[in-house]
Amino acid sequence: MTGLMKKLSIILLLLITTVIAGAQSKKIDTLRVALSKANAPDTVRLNILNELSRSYFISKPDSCLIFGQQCYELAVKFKLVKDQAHALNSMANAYASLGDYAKSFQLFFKVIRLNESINYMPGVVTAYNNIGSGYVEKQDYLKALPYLQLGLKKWKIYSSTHKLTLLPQRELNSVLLINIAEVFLYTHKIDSANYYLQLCYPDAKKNHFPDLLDNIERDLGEVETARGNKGDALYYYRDAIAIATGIEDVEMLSITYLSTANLYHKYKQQDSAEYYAQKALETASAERYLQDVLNAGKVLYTYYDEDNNLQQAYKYLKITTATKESLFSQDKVKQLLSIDFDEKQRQRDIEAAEIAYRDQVRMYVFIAGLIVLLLMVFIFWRNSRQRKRANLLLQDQKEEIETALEKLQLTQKQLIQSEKMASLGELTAGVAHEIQNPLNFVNNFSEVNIELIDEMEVELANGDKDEAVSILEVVKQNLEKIRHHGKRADGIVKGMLQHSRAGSDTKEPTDINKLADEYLRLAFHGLRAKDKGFNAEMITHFSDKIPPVNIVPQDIGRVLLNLFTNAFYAVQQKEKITPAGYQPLVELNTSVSNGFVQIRVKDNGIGIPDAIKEKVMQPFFTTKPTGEGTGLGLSLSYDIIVKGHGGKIDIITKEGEYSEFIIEIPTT
Amino acid sequence: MHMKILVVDDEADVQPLFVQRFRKEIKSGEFDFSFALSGEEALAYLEKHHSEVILILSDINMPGMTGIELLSRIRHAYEKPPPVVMMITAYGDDENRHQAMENGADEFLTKPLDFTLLKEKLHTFLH
Repeated sequence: MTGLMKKLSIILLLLITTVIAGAQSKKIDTLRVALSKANAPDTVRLNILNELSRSYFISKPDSCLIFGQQCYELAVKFKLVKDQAHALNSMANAYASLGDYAKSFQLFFKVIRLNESINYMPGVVTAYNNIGSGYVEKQDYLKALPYLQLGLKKWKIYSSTHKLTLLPQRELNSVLLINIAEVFLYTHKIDSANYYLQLCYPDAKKNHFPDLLDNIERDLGEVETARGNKGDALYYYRDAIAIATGIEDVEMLSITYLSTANLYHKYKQQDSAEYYAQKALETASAERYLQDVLNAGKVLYTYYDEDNNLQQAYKYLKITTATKESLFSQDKVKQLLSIDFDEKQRQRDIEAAEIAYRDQVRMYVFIAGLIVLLLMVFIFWRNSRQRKRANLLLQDQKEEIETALEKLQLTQKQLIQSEKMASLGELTAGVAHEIQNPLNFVNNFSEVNIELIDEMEVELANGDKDEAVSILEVVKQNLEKIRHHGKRADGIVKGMLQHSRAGSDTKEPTDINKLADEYLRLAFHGLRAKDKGFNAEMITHFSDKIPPVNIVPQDIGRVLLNLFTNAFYAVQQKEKITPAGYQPLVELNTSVSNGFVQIRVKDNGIGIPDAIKEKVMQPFFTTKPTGEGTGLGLSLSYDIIVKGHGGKIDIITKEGEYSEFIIEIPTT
Repeated sequence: MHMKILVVDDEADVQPLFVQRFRKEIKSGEFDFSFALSGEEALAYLEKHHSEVILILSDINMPGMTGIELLSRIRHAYEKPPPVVMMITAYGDDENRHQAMENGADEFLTKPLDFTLLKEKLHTFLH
């Protein structure tokens, strides 16, 4: 039992009007007249051709194909996609009617593509349904079901969001259900078939879809037949025949006749079976429904064969064979396979497209991710580079600073050295004076000794031994003096060398009094060397209780020299501005108390203004004219006393009257 | 001829040096030396032995009262008989020399002392 669905497919093509089969011939005449008047290749002609094509495929598939082709060409010309699809749909149905499923399916797939391109879902679903119908007609149920179910699924989605007004669209849901039911019917899943039929039966009744109702009732008859309910089956068949006859649904009529024949055959009512089978064959032959002719012919051949009516059996075998040849030529099978292949190819293309799309999306995501990643990498790289730059900059700055520090330290050393040399310059005259005297003594006593020795020789020659011994005593004393003054000169030179020597020096126990006195004299003579007219009274008070103090002698010496020089400078300055009666005085006092040696250097000079009192210890601060002082003297003194010896240095001063520097150095 | 010469110098060893350098003159009684270690000491000595001292030989660079000041004091204090004052200056010390001149020094001697020259000058002034 096959091929029940063709009519459903046909009905679906009636997209514009609700014209039913019975009115076909009248309508066709009207359309042909209209077409003869509409000669211009415009949309009016297109619509007429469309209607003609649609109307003809039942009775005259060949004519349908001709009009369909013309219609299609016009639609292409006007770029009317929906009309193209309509025309192709009619033609596909015509091919199916002619048994050329290959061409039919090919066109249906084209219909689907066209409708999908304009998103016209009724067209798409109709085509799916028609393909399913075609496979059912080919008895390829496994292939039919997916198309039908896909159509049903799509249609449910579409119809839930769209109001359906046209009859074919309102019927489409039932059509799909019927076709699915028939797939189950022919695969002997009776309950499933019944389930789907019951889904559409009330709806078809209620909405008066006679073109569906005859089909449904015929199928319900099949269900009842399968279930062995002969009476119920006959009831449905009769109902279906009545409806099909009423609406001139020739194919359904033929099919239902055949179903009835089979029912009677099942119950061994041979005459009734042959009668209905022949009616089925006649009905189908009249309208060239080849499949139905084949089916009916086969049944009749079987019946007559069973009856051993060989003549009749042969007749129907011939009819069957001829029909079969027409329907299943080798070519057509091949074409069908190729179409199937094409469709598979198309599905593969779609899948490939989907995969490609997914890949593309994945690619985009990947690219986006990559961009983000690159961006992050870039940001990190930039940050890192900036950090590196910053580090490099810091490194450079550090090196610069270190270099600057080194230079500074070097400069400081050089400055200290130049300060030493500057004070050495101040010392030089003093030293020269200091060294002059001992040298004079050495020279003089040497000369005297030479004379004395000459005299001594004379005395010895004269035999005056006592006188010679007396002279010898003096010579000896003189030698002592020579040695004394030689050492004195030596000490002065060593002191000078020590004073000028650069680098760190070690602390050694030192007689503070002696050191202070020595430098006081050096300072005085130094100033005197520059200013011959200068003089100052020097008063010294040395404590005899001072123990040897562990100091760096030349450092403390430099401090003292600096303080004395300043003191002499202060009194010298005051002397210049004081008219008369001013007696320059520099006092040096040493004392010891509480573990500290105190050295006080006081002058009655110009004093220090309060404004600069705080500054005098700062490096490079000087009140002396440019070139006369480095401004480092007191600063270095401060460093030597405070940092070098853990002592302290204080100033008591009154501007215009006096200054007193007090140095305290720990004795231990 | 008894001539008292006062030598003023802060260096103590100047005394034995002079004594030895002028040992023959001292022995013969030609010169008689007295010594002072500072200007102040010299003035104090002069207070007592003013009439005896006919020549004063003084260093200039001394702590406290300098030779120039001493010279000035002597010139102001002792007009009659004015003692001969010879000043000893450091080598190349033109300013002191100039000051000494202004303050009425009779002669200048430059260190280191040339005792032969000194003897000649002493003889010149004393004879």
